[in-house]
Amino acid sequence: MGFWNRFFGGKKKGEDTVKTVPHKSIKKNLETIKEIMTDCDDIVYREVEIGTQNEFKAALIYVDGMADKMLLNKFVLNNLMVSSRMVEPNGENIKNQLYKQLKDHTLTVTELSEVESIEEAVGFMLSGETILLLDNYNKIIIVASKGFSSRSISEPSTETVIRGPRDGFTETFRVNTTLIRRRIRDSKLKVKSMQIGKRSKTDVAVMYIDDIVNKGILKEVNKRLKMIDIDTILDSGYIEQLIEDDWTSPFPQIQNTERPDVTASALYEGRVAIVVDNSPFVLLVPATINAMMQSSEDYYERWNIASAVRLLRYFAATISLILPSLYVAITSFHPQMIPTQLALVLAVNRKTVPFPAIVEALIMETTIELLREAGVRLPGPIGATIGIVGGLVIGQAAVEAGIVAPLMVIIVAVTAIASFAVPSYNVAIGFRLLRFLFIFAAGFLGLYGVMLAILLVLIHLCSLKSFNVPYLSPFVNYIDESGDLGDTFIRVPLIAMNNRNAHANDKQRNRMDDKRKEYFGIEEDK
Amino acid sequence: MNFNNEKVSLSQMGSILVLTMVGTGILTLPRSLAEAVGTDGWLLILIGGAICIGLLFIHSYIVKSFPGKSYMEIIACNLSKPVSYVVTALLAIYFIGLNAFLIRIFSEVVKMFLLLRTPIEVIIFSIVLMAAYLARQGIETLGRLAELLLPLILVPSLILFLLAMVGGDITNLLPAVTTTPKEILEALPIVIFSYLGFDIILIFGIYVNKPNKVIKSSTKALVFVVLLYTILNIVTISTFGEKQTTHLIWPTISLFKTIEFPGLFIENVEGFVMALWVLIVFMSIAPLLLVATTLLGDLFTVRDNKYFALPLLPLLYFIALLGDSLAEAYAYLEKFINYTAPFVLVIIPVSILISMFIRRRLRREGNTNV
Repeated sequence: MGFWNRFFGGKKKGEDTVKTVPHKSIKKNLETIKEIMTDCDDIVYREVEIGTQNEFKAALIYVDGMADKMLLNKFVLNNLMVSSRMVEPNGENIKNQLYKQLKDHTLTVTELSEVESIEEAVGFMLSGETILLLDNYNKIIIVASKGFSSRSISEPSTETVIRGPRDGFTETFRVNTTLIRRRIRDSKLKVKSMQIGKRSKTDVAVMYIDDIVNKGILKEVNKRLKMIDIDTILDSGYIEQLIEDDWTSPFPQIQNTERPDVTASALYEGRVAIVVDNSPFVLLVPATINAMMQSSEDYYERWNIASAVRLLRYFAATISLILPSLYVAITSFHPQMIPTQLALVLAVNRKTVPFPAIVEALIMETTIELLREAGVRLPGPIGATIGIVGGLVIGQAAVEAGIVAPLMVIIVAVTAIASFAVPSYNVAIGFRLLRFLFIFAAGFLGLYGVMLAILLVLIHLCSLKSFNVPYLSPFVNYIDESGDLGDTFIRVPLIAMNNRNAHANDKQRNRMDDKRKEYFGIEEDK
Repeated sequence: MNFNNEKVSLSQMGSILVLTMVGTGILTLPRSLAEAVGTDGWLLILIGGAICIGLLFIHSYIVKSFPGKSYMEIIACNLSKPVSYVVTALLAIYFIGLNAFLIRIFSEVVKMFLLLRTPIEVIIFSIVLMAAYLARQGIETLGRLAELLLPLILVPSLILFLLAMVGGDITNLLPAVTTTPKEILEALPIVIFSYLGFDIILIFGIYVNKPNKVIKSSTKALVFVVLLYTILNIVTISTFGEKQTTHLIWPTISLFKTIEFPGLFIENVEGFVMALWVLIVFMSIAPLLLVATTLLGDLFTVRDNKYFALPLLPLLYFIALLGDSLAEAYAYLEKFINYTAPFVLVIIPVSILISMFIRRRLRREGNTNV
């Protein structure tokens, strides 16, 4: 709690919301805005005269490049300056009716709103809308004209699947919420927007399905988001680090995904999604280690295959964590534990190696981490080449030079592959970091050290919570919630997944009434 | 930032109980039983189990009757406040002492089977450090860890028992029921010692989320341990026979060492067994340390009792190093347990129970003053 307070508490919100009420005269208003936007050369001021006798002055102000110029030309300026002249004013004192006339009859734009302070209007303008100033009128009209170029929807590069939808989130906030909405055509899907970042004013939306979500978790999410007091949010990673439970942990306590189907499925499970503008990664809370070991494909493939893959993944995570340390422990402390034949082979292998096993393991692990990092930074084709050159050539040469045992190379390679089998990159990288801890523990205390390290990691994992949900659930409460184990090491058939997880709203636990059983004549065992 | 709601579920509490009990007894029980009553160990385990279930029933009943109250508060409102201070202090000493001996035994085993050339001080220090880390994280973490580790420990152990059973000869258990009641009475402390740990329910009772169901779940846990010990004893005696069992220092580990898978990657399961063993005993040491810190926290009424976890470290370390040899340490342990355990297990709970009944009687008679 202390750190939380130190980070977010204490300071009261500064009084920076000065409000200038627009003047009646358009000239004064323009001057005020120009003064606010001094030296901002990307602002376009378009002053026009409207009315049959050109008797009214108006001005459009927008940020060049962020507003849709076609929309402004065709449906705002055209209507104001050309079309409006074709209609006879209906005799009344048009001066007083101007605003109503414009709003209801002239501007053929879907979204119009009015604001009562210049600062607010400037805020809208900076997010891509257009300000429409009118003479003799002390409110400001905002024309929704957001239209900047953005990346088109493409396949997410971090979570590729063989079977499943190919669309991924982009950097545009609205596109992302739309992708989710398309999968949940339910009025209960709520999108609560807010702006975070004192300067960046980044749009952030909290999405949830109202009657499934656990209200306690939702409240906590909103509370933590409101507590954020930072100048800018550049990516959802900022938000993740500012609202996570334990910042000292190597494990991510918030899941991120580039896939709308994963997000939708999480929402259906009663979780909360946080969509952040300018980031293709949507945050999902609460996150459990179990959720991070799942891939969306598991649910699209048949259950027995998915279960086998799940088991394989847990196995991969385990060996990516402990395999090198077991090698170190066994070769340096307990060679009697492995079969005699193998021990002999190992001894012959290691005869020329001039280092203790721990140094050997550290050299090879560091090399493979170097290769991985270099491979990420280099452009595609070169990255692959580096992998081959590094993996094959360095490994082979190191063995031939006699500084590393062949078995060590095999172990390092298997470990590296295993760590890439973990679906979440950020979990895998946590395991990778801890692997070094395990190697040191094994080097100092052998198998006992490895067990201590396992205990350390387990204790830490057990102490972790993500938004009040134990990080290791359902493995730590399976006796009471035995149904939840059906979606962990194995994935039970879809017809058996009748209930949502324990952290969803209790009243909405049931998600499926299976008619298949009656149809195919399978007796229910209840 | 944690939410500190500090509640464990019944199943988590049951898991803590099972693991705490198993860790104290599993390693040497077959030997000490074989020494005392020969082939009738299983009988003694059942009798001792029955007695412990009786005691546990009393303990759980006390916990159930005072939901939301710590043990010290329970004692204070039943046996007066000064008594509660003395008793809590004594309880803390008891748990620290018991824990220290457990740590000693653990370290001896680790040194003997895994780290022959490592000084025992390093082993003691590292395991206590780890237990202190867990104790600092609080009861919730312990509960979750217990429920997580319960199947990870028990399933492989049962498989190992089954495999060991193959090489055994069940006729080694004969002749059955030859011990006299007197011998059984004399051997009872041994078997009750192997169940030690169930008394932590008194202190942890305050954390259980459904205190009205605590009797059922804690009894279930103890029955489970009784069954486990019975299987262990039967398998050990049938594998080694009565005489050989008495000569083994760690009969359980020797039992597992008889299992072999020629040709498989793990030819002998020793490493695997030792890994299990570390987990089992750690799950006894850590709850006992947490109990001690909780008691000290109550005693000194601190806001957060996790601050007591680390200062106990040197104390545990020095007590664990008492006794030059393992036999000497065992002798100390026996003396310590014989003096303190009756007090902790029987005298205090029973006097609380009597006081409860007297107060209830008085209240029924209309005396609201009590």
